[in-house]
Amino acid sequence: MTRERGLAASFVAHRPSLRVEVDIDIAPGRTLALVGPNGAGKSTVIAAIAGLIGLESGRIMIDGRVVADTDATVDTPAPDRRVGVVFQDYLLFAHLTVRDNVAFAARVRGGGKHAARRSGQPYLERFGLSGLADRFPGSLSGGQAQRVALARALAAEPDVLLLDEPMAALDVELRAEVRTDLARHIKGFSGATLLVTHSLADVEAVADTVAVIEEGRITQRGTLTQLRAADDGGFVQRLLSSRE
Amino acid sequence: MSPDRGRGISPLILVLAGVALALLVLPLFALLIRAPWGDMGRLLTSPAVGQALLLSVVTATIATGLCLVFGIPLAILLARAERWPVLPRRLLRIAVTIPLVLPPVIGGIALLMLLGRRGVIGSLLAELGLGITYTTGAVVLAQTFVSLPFLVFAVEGALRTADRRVELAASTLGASRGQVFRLITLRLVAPGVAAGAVLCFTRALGEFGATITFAGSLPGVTRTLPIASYLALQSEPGQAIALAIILLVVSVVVLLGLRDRWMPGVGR
Repeated sequence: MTRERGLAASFVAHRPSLRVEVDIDIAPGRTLALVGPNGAGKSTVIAAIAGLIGLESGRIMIDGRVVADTDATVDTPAPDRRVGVVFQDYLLFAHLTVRDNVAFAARVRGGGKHAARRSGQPYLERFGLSGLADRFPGSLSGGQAQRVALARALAAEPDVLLLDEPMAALDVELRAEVRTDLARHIKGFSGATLLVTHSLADVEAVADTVAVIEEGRITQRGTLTQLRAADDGGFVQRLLSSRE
Repeated sequence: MSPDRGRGISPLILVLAGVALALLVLPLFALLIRAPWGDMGRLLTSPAVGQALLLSVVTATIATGLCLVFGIPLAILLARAERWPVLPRRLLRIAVTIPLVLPPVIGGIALLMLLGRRGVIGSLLAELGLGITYTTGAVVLAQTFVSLPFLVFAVEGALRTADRRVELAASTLGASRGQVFRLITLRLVAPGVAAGAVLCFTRALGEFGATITFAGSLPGVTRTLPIASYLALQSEPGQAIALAIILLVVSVVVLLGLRDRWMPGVGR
């Protein structure tokens, strides 16, 4: 676990009813899909990497920086980890316009509101949000809100991108189109991406490799082709036989 | 047949509710009927009324400011106390609630015991020449004591209903604790803060018992509008009614400005 760039994480973290033990390694520019049933610990993995919950033991490295190491008692607070997160229900700031949501990271870095808005502008354009810039999140459709969440996370120029079930809050009919869009934006991101999902379509569209998590442990990993071929009745097989 | 059959209100409920409503509003109507409307101009422009009104507005404004400065952090503590063990959590809640249920005169006596000339802390302050009782500062303290719970509960209610996970989202975007508080938390609870401040102000404006006990009734120093109104009742009832109407009008205007959901006792 000495990756120069990208994400290398090997840790144990606890949720009230579950012990989560994972080992994840993602090269820059690559996407790992973490798939598994509800309650398997997927969101816990995201929270631990983002610094929103503490580790019981282990180490997390982002682009060669140790951001958490229980042996060396390193625990970089969330604001300093440079991790972009797209939460399941997006958690947009309801009192801020789309423009100010996207400018938020620049705003807290200092330099004033107007400079922050200017630095957010390219992200508004890239994500097709210029026409929505003065709207508030409450008036956006699910697909638009997801684009704002992704733009807001990437505008912080993170080293790692974490996506927690980014499709789950969308209507089924919308998903195909939004997914294509999401895949395009993720491919344009130069850092490591971890996508948590339980949709095979998300995996096919976005991920380079797949890790299956069940009851807090990674039970399978490989490319989707490898896991398909495994034909061992594992989670991916079950997913294949009951796809959406 | 009426489509609302199941939702009709029984006559008994209507009669009892009518009695309750009458109890609430008839005294106020009586006040309006008995008001010396012809003489109102003279009464309201008398120096004593002007003095009391000015004192009330100034002290209630300062008390509201104090409630904001100290009440918002207390509301945050109260909301966080959800995760505490039962006993300390309940004690904290009781401490905040006490001024709401305590007769204000008792609150005034308690303030005297603490800060009066022979009070626990007051005696020390008196030695330093910092007597508080019977000063305008005492009026502000008494008003703050009785109105603080209104602000704390309004803000706590707003904190409870807000989705506070957005604070986590803000921290992943690089916001420090202070920035999260300033840019996110305060904005989340802004409607509660506004409503709490309005309720605080009206409560402070109407404060009588704790004020007269702890601060007395010195014209221009501690004689607020409600105290002036009460005293005038003995000598010049017309003036008492005029003062009462000022307070009534201010309260109704303030409450009209509050949205329904921020009224005390209205669930959201």
